[in-house]
Amino acid sequence: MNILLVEDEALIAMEQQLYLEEAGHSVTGPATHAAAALTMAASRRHDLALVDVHLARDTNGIMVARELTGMGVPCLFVTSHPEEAQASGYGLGCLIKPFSQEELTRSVELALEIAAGRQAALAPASAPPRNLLLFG
Amino acid sequence: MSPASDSIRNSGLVLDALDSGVVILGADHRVQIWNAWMERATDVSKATLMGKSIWEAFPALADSRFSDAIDDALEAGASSVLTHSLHSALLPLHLPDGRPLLHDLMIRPLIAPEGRQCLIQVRDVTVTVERERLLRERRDAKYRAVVDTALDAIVTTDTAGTLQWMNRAAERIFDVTSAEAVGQDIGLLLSLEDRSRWPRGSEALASREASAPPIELIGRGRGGVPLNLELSVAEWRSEDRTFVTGILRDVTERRRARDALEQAVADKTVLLREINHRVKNSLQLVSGLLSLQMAGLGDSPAKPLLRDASDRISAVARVHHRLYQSDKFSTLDFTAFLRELCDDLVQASGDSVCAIRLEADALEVDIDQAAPLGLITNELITNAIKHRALNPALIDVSLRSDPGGFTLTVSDQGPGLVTGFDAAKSKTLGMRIITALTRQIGGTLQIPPTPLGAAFRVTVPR
Repeated sequence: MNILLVEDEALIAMEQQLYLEEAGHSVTGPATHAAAALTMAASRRHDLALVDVHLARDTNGIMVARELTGMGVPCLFVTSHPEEAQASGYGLGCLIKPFSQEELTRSVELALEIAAGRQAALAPASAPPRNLLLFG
Repeated sequence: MSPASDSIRNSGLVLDALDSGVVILGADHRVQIWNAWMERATDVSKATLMGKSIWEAFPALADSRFSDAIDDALEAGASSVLTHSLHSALLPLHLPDGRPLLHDLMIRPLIAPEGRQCLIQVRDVTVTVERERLLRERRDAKYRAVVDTALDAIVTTDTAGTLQWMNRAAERIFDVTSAEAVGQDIGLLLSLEDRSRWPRGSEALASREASAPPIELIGRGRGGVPLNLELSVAEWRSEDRTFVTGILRDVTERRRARDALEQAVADKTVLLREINHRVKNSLQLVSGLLSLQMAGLGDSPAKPLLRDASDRISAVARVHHRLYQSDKFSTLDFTAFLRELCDDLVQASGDSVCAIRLEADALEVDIDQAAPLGLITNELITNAIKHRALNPALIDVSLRSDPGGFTLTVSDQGPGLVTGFDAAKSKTLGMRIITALTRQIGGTLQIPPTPLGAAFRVTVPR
């Protein structure tokens, strides 16, 4: 799957990229600020975007999520401030930092399933990670 | 009727028609003339008083400035003018409606054939005084509106510091009435220590500049509660006397708010220092855990990887260590950080392994750049140590700062980089960390050509 990474902390972005690529996804980014995110989003089709709330150059991930949703790209927030993300009304949910490789991989899988409309009954073994907050 | 008696009768008519009081006394103080105006103003008829002592009409004045003036006229032939403005109640006179009649007196000797007499002229100044008062009130109205509604205390003293006047705000702030305070020393309103700070005497006043900043002093408020006051003073002169008017602003609340704010800032400083201290301790604990993990690994290839991880965590811990040692939390003394990092890396490797020459300009970096820059520096120097060819590794670290930004250069005398080395494409974690973090802080990474070894240069614009 094609995944857009919007994250301004270089090391966290590196970590996310590593985990996503190990899970077999193709990653665009990381975009560190809103304008870069929107440019990258327009460059190819993405199945999902992982979006941090606080971005570089004083820009905001919530605005990015609003635009991406409008472009048909589902968004999953990845942040340590879930309240702001949840209140925004955008995005499928929020993965709360810090996260493990397993938690990120599993959250992305669930988000992709929800985005594809396949909300299959979750088996106990595949319960969502504890730090994944699904909206709606 | 003879012309002489006509003249006397006519003069009597004239005296009674005058719009002022006329009294003539003989040498024995007996009334010889008492005109109709005097009858109206005193309710004492000419008939009852003629030939009697004037003191029957004014018994209370037998020993007064008035009686002195009469004596001066009769005995010394001297004239006196007793004005209303200097002697508020001269004679007990009244207007037809009963209100007191304000008057000036002119008392002068008359030389008559029968001996020295005393002429007393009484001039009604009630209307004049009233008109002056109205004019003054109108003129003062604007001034009084400002003074009476002012929130600041306004007080006036003479040059000796004796209170002459105060406004309503002063009465409220110092909890005294004007009547209680006027005539007392200004010290009544001030703390013991600050009593002497009210400008007294012409020298103190002369030495004050008009634009001098307000004096800060402590006053005595309701129940002796200390008040923080700001005093601005001006001197002015009236009829050869000098007065000092001071505006005393009550800044107690403002001072309290400022103190509270300063305390809050101080508390926050302590808190921030404490947080940085704890973060540093926690990071060192984590770094220490990794070191423990290494201890049991023998010659495992995982050992150097754990060492790298431990060193990276220590580099971030060092940033927090410097932050809590400083009074500033929004910037990091990067020069001190660099010096400490170099010392520690040399010590950890051993003198025989590595020597670092450091040349650094003074530089404070923004807190957002501090941890990334600390990590970048750690990677560059540890890379140089790691890839040394000879012992000890000779490493030059230079930090140059100018108004446009700063440049950090780390060069070694090792075997140098492989031909065609591209930092952006390097797969090693160290290089990936350097390139990603350099980009994050808005800097650029260059690999300048060097005759010997390798050099890396990070340039960060301001």
